[in-house]
Amino acid sequence: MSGRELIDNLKRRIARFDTSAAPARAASRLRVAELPGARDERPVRFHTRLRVESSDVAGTAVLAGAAFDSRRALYLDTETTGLSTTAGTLPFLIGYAWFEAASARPTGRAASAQPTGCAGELCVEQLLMRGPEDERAALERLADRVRSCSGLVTFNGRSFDVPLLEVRYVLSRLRSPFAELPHLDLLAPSRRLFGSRMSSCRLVALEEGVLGERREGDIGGHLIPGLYNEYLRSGDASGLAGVVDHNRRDIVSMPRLLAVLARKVARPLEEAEDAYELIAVGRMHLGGGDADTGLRCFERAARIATLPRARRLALVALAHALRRRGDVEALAGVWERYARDFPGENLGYVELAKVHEHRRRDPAAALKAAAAAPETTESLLRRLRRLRARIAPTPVPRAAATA
Amino acid sequence: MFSAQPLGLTSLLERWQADPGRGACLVAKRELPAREARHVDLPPELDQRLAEALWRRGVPRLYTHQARAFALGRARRDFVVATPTASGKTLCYNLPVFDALLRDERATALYLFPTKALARDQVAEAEALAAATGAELPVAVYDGDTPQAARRLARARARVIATNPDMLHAALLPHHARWARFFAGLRFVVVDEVHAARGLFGSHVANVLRRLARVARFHGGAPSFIGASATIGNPGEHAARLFSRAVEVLDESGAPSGARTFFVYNPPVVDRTLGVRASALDAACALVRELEQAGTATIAFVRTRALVEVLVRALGDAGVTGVRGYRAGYLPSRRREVERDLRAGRAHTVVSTSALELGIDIGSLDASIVVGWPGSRAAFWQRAGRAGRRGAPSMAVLIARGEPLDQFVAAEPRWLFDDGVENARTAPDNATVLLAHLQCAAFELPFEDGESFGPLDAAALGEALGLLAREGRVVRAEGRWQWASQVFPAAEVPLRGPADENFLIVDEERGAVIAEVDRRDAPRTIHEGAIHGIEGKLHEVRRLDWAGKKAYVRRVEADFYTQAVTYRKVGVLRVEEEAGPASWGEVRVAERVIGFKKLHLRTHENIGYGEVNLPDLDMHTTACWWTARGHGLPGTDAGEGAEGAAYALRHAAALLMMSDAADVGVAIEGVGDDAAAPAPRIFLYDNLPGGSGLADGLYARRGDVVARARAAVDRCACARGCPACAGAGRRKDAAREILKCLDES
Repeated sequence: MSGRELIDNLKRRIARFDTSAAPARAASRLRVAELPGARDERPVRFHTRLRVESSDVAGTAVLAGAAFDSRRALYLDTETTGLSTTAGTLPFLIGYAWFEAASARPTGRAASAQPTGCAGELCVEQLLMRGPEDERAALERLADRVRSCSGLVTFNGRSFDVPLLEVRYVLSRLRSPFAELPHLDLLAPSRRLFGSRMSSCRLVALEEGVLGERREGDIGGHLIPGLYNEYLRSGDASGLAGVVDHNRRDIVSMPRLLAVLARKVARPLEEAEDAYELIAVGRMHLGGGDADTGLRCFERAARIATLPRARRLALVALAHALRRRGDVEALAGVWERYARDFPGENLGYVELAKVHEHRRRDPAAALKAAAAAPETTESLLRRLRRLRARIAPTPVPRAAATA
Repeated sequence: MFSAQPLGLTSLLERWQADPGRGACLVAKRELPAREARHVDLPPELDQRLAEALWRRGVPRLYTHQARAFALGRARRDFVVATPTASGKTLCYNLPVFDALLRDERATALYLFPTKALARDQVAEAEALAAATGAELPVAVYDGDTPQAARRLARARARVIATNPDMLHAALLPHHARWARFFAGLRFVVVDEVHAARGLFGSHVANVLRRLARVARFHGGAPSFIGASATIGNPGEHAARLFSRAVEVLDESGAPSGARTFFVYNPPVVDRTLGVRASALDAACALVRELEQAGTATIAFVRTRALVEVLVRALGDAGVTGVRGYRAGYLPSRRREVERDLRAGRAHTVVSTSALELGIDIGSLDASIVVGWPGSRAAFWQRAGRAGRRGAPSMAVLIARGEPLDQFVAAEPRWLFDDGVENARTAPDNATVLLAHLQCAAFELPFEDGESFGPLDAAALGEALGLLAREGRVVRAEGRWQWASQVFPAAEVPLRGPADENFLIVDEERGAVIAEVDRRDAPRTIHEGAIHGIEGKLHEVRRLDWAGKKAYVRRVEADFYTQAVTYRKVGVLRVEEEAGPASWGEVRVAERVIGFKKLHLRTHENIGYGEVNLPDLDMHTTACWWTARGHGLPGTDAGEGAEGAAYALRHAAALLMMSDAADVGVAIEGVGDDAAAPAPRIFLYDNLPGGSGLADGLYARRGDVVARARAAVDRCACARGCPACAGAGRRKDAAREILKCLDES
């Protein structure tokens, strides 16, 4: 096939594409640099400052699993042309924030001053690309900023923003600044604390349910990739004002959400709103090696839980913690409580039987506990047979056994 | 035992030829003498660790072609190895690859296999070689079954990745930045079984490799390409098309081979008035039984999955023990078990579909029985080559069925033995395929002004990208074309048609999944009432849950198997263009199973019929079609003529479009028996939902297609139709009349 023939052939096929995505000629074109608050640089830059409460140090450390200075962290969020980390996804808007007092000069790489005070000045900077040609400059500017910070805070950045940006650094042949940087992703702890009472753990939903604020006039996140592609095709940036706004709100919410999370972790008995939060925080402390606080959380959760599901969870968590600690008496007590509260379930009786049999070496008590279990199952019958055999170790004649 | 087997085979062959009944059926015989091995010493340039690893693995010398492959690979030349089955092709690429990996710790290699099973099989071998060198050379399979943790490890550390073209297309290339280390070090791309990448699939593979070369270049890798091929007529030309570059051909084997005997076996005529022959399957059963008694390890190839079950069962009934079945649809664990049993010599007889045609290691076999014409000479030699892997005497038998094509081969065995094998055809510049991959490439890396892609030089590529920009797929800024659409182009282009979601076959009583069937075959094989065999054990389908993709079966004892009766109809949805008798446009191809026949397991007589009520399997695609008017043939003649004409057109079309016949569907409408002056319509359609770009190309070259089809029929010297003209046993005269009406003038 000749080159001409091939091009004609391609032309015919392209003409049959679904044309709904084809550029609509905009009546008036708003340039990116003409968006409200934009500074005409490359990339176009937006800058905002506001005061935000800083977060509890001990609580933050538990959340991050290590000492983590939230005052010297960078709060990062990107808006992209797609939801995967494939090579065709462009992070066209890179937004980030840092606490002014805690960081060095905006573009400097020098070590920073120590944080002071409880509330700080949060500087928000957003880099909007006029097109892919601005990407390199945006990535370089972001890298400078990341290197002046001691940690990273994101919402779902562990599985999305950071891997995507790492891909972009490779594609631009630049060194990624993220390697080895401590990273606190707020999505996981938010799910653990609020997942049971919130139908969605998206950031916008958490703002409403946890921070008590409702976003007005926000554009849906799912529309964002389309808006930017539309801008690229038409050259009209008027649809992007809402995207910049959305991104800024996401960023500002991160330090505030972190403050709430850290407070709840640091003072669970005072701050928790329900049993589920107590259980989640208790598990975090347990995982962090603070079994005492963990046990206190579970104990409180078991006491205040009104819903059977929460009570079940609390008692089981409590039992697991006590078993790990080897507190047999308290463990037996928890399973007795469980059996009392849920007499229709085998779990409490069977677990109590296990404690009696294996920990206290008291098969008679174990048999008594197991015999009280309400539901006859294969495994229960096996347990009963075994316990009976242990109590009367001399073989029983077959006839007697069945009698 | 090893020496007893060939002896058994040799005397058995003598007995067969001496026996008057048997001898009369052996209508053609060809012998290939044994060939001595040609060895050379391990080349001194070979890395010492690799040389020692070969020694340890019992390879103190190389065959001549292996040494040459090493020299070519070391010189970073592109080549294809096209030596016979069992000539040690794998080492031809493992040698240069591992030598390079040992010398440069950043070097990596990508191995592409057409199927997942083959990748796993070959990786085991590569791993063993890697381990024997004592060096750290991680080899990893990367496919849909690879768990997440293993994927991360493969990205971080693997030196050799074994995968398939589909995975490269949809996972590795779109995520290439995460594989930067691997692509930066990429020194070799090995494409095994290149003959499998033919037709439309080959067009896709060629374009995936163009993208691969581009992505590797971005990261600093500059791989050379190595292909390995089964016997095809044009390995060099085919590999050059796939790799978009000239390649050298290595087809002089230095491997030894035992004496090989080939027969065509034509079962005797049992009904003289009707000319009916004894069943090929019965003949296969008898031959395999005698082979088994003679202590010969035998593989029997049959044409369909159902026939695997019929033959396994028949052999069991005939008292042959230890017979295994092998086909797609068996659970992977069962397939692995059969492979192991064959390698270890625990099983002596296996009945398979083409599933064992590719290079899965099943050890050494002495006889290959090919039941029914396998579709091409290349496929016949591939199957025949499964016997005689270790240089002992071996034999292969083609058992002819009553079908015209089989009878043609029986009557003209020289066509099989002497006329070479088919060429593998593929068209890397198919416009539909090229356009799809051009978009994938733009998605993966922005095109820079001045770049080229495949057949598109800088100017043509600029023009094509400009067209895509008009549709909003890309935008241009500062000399770069950036992807600007939410479409993820790789997801829009499955390389082998729509993904087959498998149906599971569940044993009702045990509640266990015992086999699977792909969606395309489900209506024909697991409708309610169907008998489904698994290694000869019969199950009846009690209930088919179409939406849930499950068939519930129960073990039964039956003396019959079932065969679906299908019906295909083509309807024109939109005519794009027409000129005289020819048109092209969108069509709907509807296939429906309307019932099934019950066939006796032994006699294959029709002993009953059942109804099936299943939805149509619909496909919207593009087609080129011709309407034959004014031929003057009466009803049935017109129908037969149309069939012959369609056969000739389809083969002319496949040849002209450099495509595989399987990519071109064929259907005939308008030839009912009652039509007084029928005007048959012959459809050649893209056998892929949405079309594959063949139909409009055919329309553009409609004059050539008809002229070639006519020339094939007119010039052929055969008396009653053959594979080269209107099809074996087809009416050439009637076909000629129909074709005459398809010319535009």
